[in-house]
Amino acid sequence: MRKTLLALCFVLPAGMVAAQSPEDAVKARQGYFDLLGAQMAVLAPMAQGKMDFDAAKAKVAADNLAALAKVDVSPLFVPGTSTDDLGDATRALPAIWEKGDDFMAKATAMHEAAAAMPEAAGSLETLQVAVGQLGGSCKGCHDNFRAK
Amino acid sequence: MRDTTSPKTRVIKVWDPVVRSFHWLLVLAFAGAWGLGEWGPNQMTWHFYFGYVIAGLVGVRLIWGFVGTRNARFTSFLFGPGKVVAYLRHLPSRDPSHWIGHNPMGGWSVFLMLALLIAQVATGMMSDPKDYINVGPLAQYVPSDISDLSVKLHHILSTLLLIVVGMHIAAILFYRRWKGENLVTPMITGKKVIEED
Ligand code: HEM
Ligand code: HEM
Repeated sequence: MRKTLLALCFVLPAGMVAAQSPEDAVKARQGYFDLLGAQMAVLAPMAQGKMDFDAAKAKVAADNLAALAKVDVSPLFVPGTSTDDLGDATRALPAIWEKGDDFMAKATAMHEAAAAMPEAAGSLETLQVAVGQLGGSCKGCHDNFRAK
Repeated sequence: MRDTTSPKTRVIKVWDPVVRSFHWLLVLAFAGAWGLGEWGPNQMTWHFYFGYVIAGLVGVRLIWGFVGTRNARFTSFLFGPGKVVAYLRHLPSRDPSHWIGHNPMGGWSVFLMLALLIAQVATGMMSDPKDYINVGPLAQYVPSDISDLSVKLHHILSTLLLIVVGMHIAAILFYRRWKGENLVTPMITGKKVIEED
């Protein structure tokens, strides 16, 4: 929960300040994805048997993911902050803005998979399936919207 | 082409069963790995399995390249630049080459394809695409800039391999259509009909 609050403190103000610099928007959204990754870094090794299943730890990370998925980060995807504009500073491809509907669909897939995490975190079997789906939703978006 | 005297022909065993099985299993596994990599499900378990099959096939072929039958051995199709140039001079002529084993040009294409396949498997195993589920088994043992680079290289190499395999198939077609030489049947049956001189 602490991590969730931290995430909210970090992401929400950044999202609300509309007139921020492009560099700040990039940093804020990268921070958001890092936070998602930090939760996955707890759950994936458990799901893959590289770490013992710990229901309490799993629950915290799963709750954090569900909370993060509720955060609307679309204000951070400011026009003019793609790889075309900022080069190596970002991996967000112009396709995000060109194919906004498809991008939103991929984001929604992630939100739904993340929302299912808290319930799935109760047992290893359900966690494995849910981590697979959530990780798959990461790839689903990376394929077309994140630079290689 | 040849019309007056019908020359004496002879049937020769060119490709042993290991080479033939290797080849056609590789064709299947390559199609599977490539298709699953590009269009497969987001959970890439089957892509990984196909990749491991290719690793195994190439591993067997590498050993066979040293201990196998004559035409399977690397030394039998490792030709210097002189031989390659001499062979290429004859390439445009509309006659079968009647070569036994890999010719000097084909030999290099085999080395190239094997090298690319090894690089493809190696970069796949070291890839960390940061989705926490499709992480290559070796990614955790290499620095993170290497596992990032591996993802990029794996992508570039996959395109390169497709081009090289396309050229490989185009070359086989060229022998068939232009030179009137069937290379595919020997790769299936192991036997090649050549002219006695
Ligand atoms: C259906 C498509 C294909 C056909 C018709 C075909 C045909 C052939 C033929 C006829 C040869 C023998 C060439 C010679 O006489 O020197 C050969 C060798 C070879 N081909 Fe293919 N090929 C195909 C697809 C592929 C693919 C997809 C790969 C790799 C991913 C591949 C890799 C190789 C390799 C490595 C050899 C050397 C075999 C050895 O010495 O062990 N081929 N191919
Ligand atoms: C010769 C064998 C292989 C072939 C032909 C192959 C081909 C491909 C192709 C075409 C892609 C899609 C590339 C893209 O659009 O970015 C891909 C992605 C991938 N492959 Fe392979 N692959 C092979 C072996 C492996 C192995 C052995 C592994 C790991 C054990 C692996 C792991 C991956 C991963 C993790 C991705 C996803 C990369 C991303 O999300 O950007 N591959 N592969």
